[in-house]
Amino acid sequence: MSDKNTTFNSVGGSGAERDRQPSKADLYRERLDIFVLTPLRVMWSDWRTRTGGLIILAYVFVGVVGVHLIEPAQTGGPRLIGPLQNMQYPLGTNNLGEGLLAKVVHATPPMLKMVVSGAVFSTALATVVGTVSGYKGGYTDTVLTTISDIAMTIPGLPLVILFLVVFEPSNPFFIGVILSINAWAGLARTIRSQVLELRDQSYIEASRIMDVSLHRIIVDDILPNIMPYVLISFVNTGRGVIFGSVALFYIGVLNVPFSNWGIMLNRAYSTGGALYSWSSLYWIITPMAAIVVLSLGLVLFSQGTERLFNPRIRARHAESIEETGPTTGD
Amino acid sequence: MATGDSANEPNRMSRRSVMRRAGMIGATGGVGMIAGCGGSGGSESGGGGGDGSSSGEVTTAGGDIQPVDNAFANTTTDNPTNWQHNVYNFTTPYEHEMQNDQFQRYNIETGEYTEYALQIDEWAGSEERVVLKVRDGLTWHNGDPGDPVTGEDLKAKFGCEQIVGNTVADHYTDMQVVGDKKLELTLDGQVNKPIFRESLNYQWIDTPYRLYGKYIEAYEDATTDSERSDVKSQLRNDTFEEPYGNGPFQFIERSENRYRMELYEHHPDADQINWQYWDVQRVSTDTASVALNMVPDGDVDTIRNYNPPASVYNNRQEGHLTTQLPALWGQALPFNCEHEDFGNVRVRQAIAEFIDRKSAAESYGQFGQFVEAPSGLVGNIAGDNSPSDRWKDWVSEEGASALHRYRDAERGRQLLRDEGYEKVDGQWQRPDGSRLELPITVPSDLTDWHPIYQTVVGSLEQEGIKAELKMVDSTSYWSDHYLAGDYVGASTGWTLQNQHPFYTFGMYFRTDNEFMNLTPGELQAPPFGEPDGDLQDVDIDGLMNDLRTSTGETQTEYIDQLAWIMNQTLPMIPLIEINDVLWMTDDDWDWKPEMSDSAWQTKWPQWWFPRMGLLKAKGSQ
Repeated sequence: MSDKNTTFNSVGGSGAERDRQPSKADLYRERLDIFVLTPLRVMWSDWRTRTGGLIILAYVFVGVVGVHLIEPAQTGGPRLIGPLQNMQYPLGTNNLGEGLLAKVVHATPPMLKMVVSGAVFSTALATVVGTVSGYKGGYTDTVLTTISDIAMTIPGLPLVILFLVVFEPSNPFFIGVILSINAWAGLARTIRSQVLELRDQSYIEASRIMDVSLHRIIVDDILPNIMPYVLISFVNTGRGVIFGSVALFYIGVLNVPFSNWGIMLNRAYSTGGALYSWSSLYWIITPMAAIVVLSLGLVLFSQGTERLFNPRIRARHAESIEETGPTTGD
Repeated sequence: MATGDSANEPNRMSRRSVMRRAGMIGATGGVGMIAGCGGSGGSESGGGGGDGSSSGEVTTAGGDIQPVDNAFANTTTDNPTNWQHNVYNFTTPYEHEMQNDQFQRYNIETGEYTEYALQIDEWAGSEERVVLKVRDGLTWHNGDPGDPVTGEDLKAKFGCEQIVGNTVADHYTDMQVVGDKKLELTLDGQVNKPIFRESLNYQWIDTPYRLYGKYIEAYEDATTDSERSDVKSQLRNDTFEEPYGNGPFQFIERSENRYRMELYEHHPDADQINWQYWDVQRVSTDTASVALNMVPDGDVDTIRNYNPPASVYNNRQEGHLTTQLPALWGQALPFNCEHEDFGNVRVRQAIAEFIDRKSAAESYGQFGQFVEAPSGLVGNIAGDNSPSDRWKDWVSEEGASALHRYRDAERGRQLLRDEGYEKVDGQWQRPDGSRLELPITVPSDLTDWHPIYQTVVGSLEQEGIKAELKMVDSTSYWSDHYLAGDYVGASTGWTLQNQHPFYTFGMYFRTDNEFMNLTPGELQAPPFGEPDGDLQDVDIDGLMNDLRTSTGETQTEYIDQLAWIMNQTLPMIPLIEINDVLWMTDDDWDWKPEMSDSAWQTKWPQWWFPRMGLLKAKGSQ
């Protein structure tokens, strides 16, 4: 059922507390608790979310701070040095004499931008379309479903290639959106199916009877139920952006002017023959590790976030609820 | 991996080179690929490309044997059903080296020419004429035996060269068939014989008059430039669906994965060959994998040339046979000479000062050396991959020392400042305040080229110029970018695989100038030996004509002049020069010459050895 934590405040607590009007500071503290601290506590209580969150934070740290600590890679250094052989290049160098650590670090910000923009664009659009379509039904559903179906029938790869060729994007945010341009439709259809099922649940029925607004029903009743799936899709779309950028670089369609783990992989494989010698395998493993670990972090994070959208678990971790809840008694 | 047997070889001659660069000719089985690597292949049926078991026993000069492998296989990365066979059409033309015969054989090590399908029957340079003769016994694959190759077919060849304006056509003004087998060319003045001889290198008898004669006749009948242009356009655009040839193997069938030829027993050298089929197998673009899987039971018998990373080269196994020969070629950075920035000679010079060519060569790997003085003179790498100064043999001592070496970044900065550019916060800005940018367009498939241009980009980025690689699919790179002159900086070879400077200069100023949007008549260069002197007009055409007809010291003087002009105007910057690496297997095949034998120094041993009896299929016990 649609519930806001402030609802607890209004029904619980001592008489004196009920009489006291909360100050602005109390409201801010409560909102901070509800929207920031409680989710953090819920996340921290689950090892998957905790680990995933830390991994993502590490990447963000590298992307924000690391790029200032480590100089960009430059050609002309010693070539094909293995990892840990020269502390100036702790992860080794490639055939151009560029340090792999510097390459990986400086590829992080644009990669994160691409991943986030692509995943946010695709997931947000799919969630809005799927939820509204499934819940509203009728003409709205027909129109949105038709649009989704049309989008699904357009072959994704040619569409992406077309956009890349026409716009020749160089901004990582824009590239991320283009790479996931066709990913939203399928997700929207799946979400619609889930919402169709959810809309007949008794607690949603109750919200409707109580004349709760459509916005609140969707946000408070429906979204928490589909969020685990949405987040997994978010992660998959993000990974798809990474993998898509690799493939499109390879066929020469995507010309990114910035560092990219996929490009590092491709060059290690195609120009370095890194697969054919143990001694140069590090060249492939380094960017691969960057991709795999980020992917793992995103997956772990999304798996644990199921708890984040469970109202009961949230309530258990919300200090503002405990402090003001009925259990304190009069 | 860069692949295609024609890799690294955009340079048979001007026409073929253009087509190879355009990724179209694949006479080596590397159709569709241009540079760097041999395509590689594998027969569908396995066993070293040999499924010729249907035929089995072959009677040869060596007697009756049962070859272990009855089909020799080289490679392509293309779909053979997409090929057409008009070799003057830039779109997917194909002819195989075993399907047509070459005019002559040139040994790079000894400098020796050996006439093969064509003889210079009579040289009368003083009378300004030459008579060429087709080899006796040569017939087309259109019968059993087919029609003889005639002087008319030769006329078609030299006529087509004239129509499309290839370099060889500079040497003659008219032609006449003399008897059945001969063609007389009327020379354009007193042509230097060595230059003429070299123009016949890597040329093929591949224009049967029955197919190409109509263009020759239309060209002869044309009275206006417009009509001649129409004929050229027609020749460039027509497609021939059926393969044709006169070489030791004739086409019999093709599928999406294989182009198969069978021994043509009426060829004069057919008795040197003791196996039945020659296959061009379609293989993965991952040439490293293809090369390493050639033995012990691989499907591929040769990759014409493939420059491997050290990790691949060091993983060769028993049964792998590799050798190398000078490519007489290397990668360059051509500029769009109509570009606002790079149309300026001084800006091009500045870029050359910033680029670390030595580092670019090191990035290419062990088979490349940097070009010491970018000027179009071939000979910067020795056979053992060490640096060479053979290039100095073409010029006088004074000429060699005058050529600017381009390794002074500070001079480059001064040149840019003098032209109104400004370095702000480590970034070069154009006179209008925007950043100086140099995107370099590179074919995406030719991956062994990429480290070179990545290094170039790195050098420029470190200097504060915004440079980037623009990868473009090879099929569109040549036709839509380089050949169309649609780029800022691009990538191509800086020779046509001819050693004589006449041909490299001809490439810059008469062939590829069109692709670089360069108008040679408007070129300006500083006075000889004074790189910082005022720019002044130069007479490229006059010097080229003088070079073509001169000999000895006079010729050296002209080369000095032209090398200087190239060195200073730099429509393209020659970056590195390379050796080609040949890959063969010897499990089923007997390559007769010792690896140290100079016979290997002929492009390409894989095509010459069968004709010469120097490659035999091993017999089963």
